[in-house]
Amino acid sequence: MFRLKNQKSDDCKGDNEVLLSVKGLRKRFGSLNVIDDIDFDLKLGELLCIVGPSGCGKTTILRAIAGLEKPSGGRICLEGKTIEGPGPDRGMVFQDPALFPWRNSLKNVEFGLEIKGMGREEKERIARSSMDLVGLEDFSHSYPYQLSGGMQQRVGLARALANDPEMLLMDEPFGALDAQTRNSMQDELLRIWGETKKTVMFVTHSVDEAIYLGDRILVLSARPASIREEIKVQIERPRDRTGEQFNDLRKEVLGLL
Amino acid sequence: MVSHTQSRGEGKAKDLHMTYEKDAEKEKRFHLLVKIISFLAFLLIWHLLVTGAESSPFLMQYRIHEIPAPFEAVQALVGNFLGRGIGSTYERGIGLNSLMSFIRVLVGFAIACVLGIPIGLAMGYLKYGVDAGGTIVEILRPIPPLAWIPIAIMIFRENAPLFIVFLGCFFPIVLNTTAGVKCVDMKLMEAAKTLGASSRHLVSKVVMPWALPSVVTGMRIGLGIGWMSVVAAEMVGVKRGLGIGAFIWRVYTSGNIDLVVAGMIMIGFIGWLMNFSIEFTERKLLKWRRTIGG
Repeated sequence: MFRLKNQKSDDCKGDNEVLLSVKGLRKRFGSLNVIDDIDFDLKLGELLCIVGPSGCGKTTILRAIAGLEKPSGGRICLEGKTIEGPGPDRGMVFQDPALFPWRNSLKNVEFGLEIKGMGREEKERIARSSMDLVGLEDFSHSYPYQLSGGMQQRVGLARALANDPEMLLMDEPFGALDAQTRNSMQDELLRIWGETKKTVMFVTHSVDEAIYLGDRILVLSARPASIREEIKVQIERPRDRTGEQFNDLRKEVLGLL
Repeated sequence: MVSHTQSRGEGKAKDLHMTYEKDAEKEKRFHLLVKIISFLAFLLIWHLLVTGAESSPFLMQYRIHEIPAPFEAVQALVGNFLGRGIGSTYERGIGLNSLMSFIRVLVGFAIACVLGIPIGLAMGYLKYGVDAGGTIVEILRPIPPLAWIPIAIMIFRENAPLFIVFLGCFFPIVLNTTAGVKCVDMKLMEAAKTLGASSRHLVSKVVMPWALPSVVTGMRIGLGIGWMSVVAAEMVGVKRGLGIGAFIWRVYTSGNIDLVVAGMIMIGFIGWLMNFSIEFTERKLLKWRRTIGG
């Protein structure tokens, strides 16, 4: 049993460029087959988007990587180690921002640091710089209910970033926002991604969002999810949502869904 | 022209704002007025009933005329607060007697919190918690605290009222804590896990704060029941010692109905004060909640 585990992690060893590797991932919920044999790698610093029809299991893939779902088969390796459960090395941003309602923004952002047992001053310094990064320095003392949806989502992002994770897992984080806020949040994410150089895996049901953000897009099939197509987005940033290349790609991806 | 309209618009907004403020002020005064009037009306009805009873053979047959009018009752309360002018040799004032009851309630309540909150947490959080404790609690809970008095006197003697208070507080605290824990938002639990929380952290930093409003509700209900039970428990269980319940029973047996009602007023007043202070703490503690009350 023990040896098997060791062997597993040995199998994980691979390319140095690769941060995360998913091999033969399967997931069943009872008799429901949700994910059927998925393989992909995530390079260090990459921004990977996953799109697919709704209910296809995109979120399940992300949750498996976060360690919130146990795979029924296959392996997920982060830096050569098999993922066994949730951990602070993978920061997650949820669609419903899942902020702690009894903590103000700053205290929400400090949560992970508090768990690490960090001293008060250092904790606050890091949390404040994380709030700065998402542009919320003036809302440290606001409680979640006092913030707009976009602002709550920024706090969620700041909270994940404060832990300085190896990668960010984002589960349709802008799905509940209005179109304008959503666009500006996408720009914010690209800016933050540029500044922090984090590896990001971004699940969305919006083809536009995937094309606007991603270095690469995985298009999934309907349930059980498998990878239908992998697309490298070679449009230079900042991307023009109405440009010809953008439209062509949009047509291509929509055709796949 | 533009600036003109603008300033006029602003002026209008200001007027409107002032009107709102005035209305709010007016409404506030009206709330207070209704409170005062209804309370005075209550006192008046009481007064008329007991003074009128003296000329009504029907009411006199029920000894209604022996009940003190509000003013007499308050007079008896004030006059005997420190224990002057009470006939029997061992009797002390209403103040000391109610202080004793108050201390009993606080101690019983504190013990109920110390035991009830962890038990409620365990029942709510542990997988087999409700299986282990639920049936026992559900069978013991419907037994009124007062039904325990004989057993309590047998075991705890003069501390019986303390035990009765504990019982009265304990079950609402356990049940509300369990209910609060059971409804914890799994999204928040997951978020905490992805931030590195261990199960110890999950309990202290997610489950407990989440359940807090419910725990406080349990505490408030428990404290109310505790205060009600202490009076009855003292009537039966203390007899000669200190306690507002015991006091009321003694002055009743010596025929001083003024003091009976004075003691009752004291009980009502302390109960009201306790509820007020717990509500106040609740508001301070749970200011992160968005409620109808603001």
